[in-house]
Amino acid sequence: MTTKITSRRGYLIALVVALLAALVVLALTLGGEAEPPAAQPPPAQPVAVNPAGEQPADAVAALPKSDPVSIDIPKIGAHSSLVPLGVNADDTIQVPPVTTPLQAGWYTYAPTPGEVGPAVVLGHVDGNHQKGIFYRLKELAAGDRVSIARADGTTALFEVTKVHQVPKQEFEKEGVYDDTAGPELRLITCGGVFDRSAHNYVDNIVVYARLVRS
Amino acid sequence: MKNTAVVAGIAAAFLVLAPGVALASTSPSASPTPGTTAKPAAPKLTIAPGHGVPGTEVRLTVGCEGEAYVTSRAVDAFADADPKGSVRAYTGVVRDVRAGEYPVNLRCHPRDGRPDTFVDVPFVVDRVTTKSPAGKQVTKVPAGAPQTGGTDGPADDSGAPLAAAAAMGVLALGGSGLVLARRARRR
Repeated sequence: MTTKITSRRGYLIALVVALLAALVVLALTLGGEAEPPAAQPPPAQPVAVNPAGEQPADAVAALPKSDPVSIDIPKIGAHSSLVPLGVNADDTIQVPPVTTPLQAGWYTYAPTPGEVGPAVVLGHVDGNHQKGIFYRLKELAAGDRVSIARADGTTALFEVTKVHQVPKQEFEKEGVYDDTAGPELRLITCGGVFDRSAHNYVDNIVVYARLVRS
Repeated sequence: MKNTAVVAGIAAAFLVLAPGVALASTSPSASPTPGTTAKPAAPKLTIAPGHGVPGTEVRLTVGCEGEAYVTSRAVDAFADADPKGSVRAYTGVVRDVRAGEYPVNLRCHPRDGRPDTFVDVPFVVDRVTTKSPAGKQVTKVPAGAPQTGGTDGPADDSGAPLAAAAAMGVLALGGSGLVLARRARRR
């Protein structure tokens, strides 16, 4: 009789321990709600890989207008067709569907890649619980190459000049859409800390590039 | 005898002078005179400014013996109305061509049969650096910042180590529970 009671107590203890373990697992899994984990190392200030960002003298001539059809960034393994993007009803820029995070898009109110001015290409860092087309965009550095195929059959080859991580609250001051002296490119995605309460990243990663060959 | 001498003198004079008269009458249209057989002066061409974007107006000054022909892929040149001597002025406009260096060619064609002379002067077409005529290059500047991230949290690799740690925790705690249970059973 005593043995049975002891045995039952043992199983009860084991059950309690298992429940505690399950609670620990649950707490570990949901622990991020209270304190957002860092998705990417957040630098204190925007990082300028090439602070001067000057237009090199060997920049090539501009190309005529032609819609881009695809983008290729060998260093980070990013390859995607490009869908046209406009603006939303609230005048914010449209982005590709978050359900297809491997799809990149280009902003149609900006010059086409190769024309004089800042062509703009956007892609998700992640979405739909998977990595996005620009998940590794932050790894680009000055000198890396980005090629964009155009509808007229030409390919515009760009060279990265600098990479900035910009708080979203200060994005408009960054001058991403400002006029440029030559043909340039902006690659934009999200980055920095993921704010779980706002369901959003707090920064943008902006890659600046210039046309070097067409 | 006197008459014979006069006729002989006239004949001799004719023989001496006739070839000279014949030559003088043909010289303007045929062979060059001894003074014009000299090599034509070297042609001169200056362009100011020496570079410009498409549409820029430039001035060309030409020094040329005879007719001047200015040709270039990069510059349309038009001679001014009143040339002064062998020096002429041209007004040129930079054509809509790709940036780069192009030759501007001057050919001088003397009208007296001497050979043409040439000179090439480089002209640099600059990259267009001005803003588009319509104004801003980005015709509609979006408000705010792009929302290019998922709303469910980062899809990075940190989830895997967390799950592994959690699984190890479960195993450890479960093992401890079993040990405790066995000990309790033995009692």
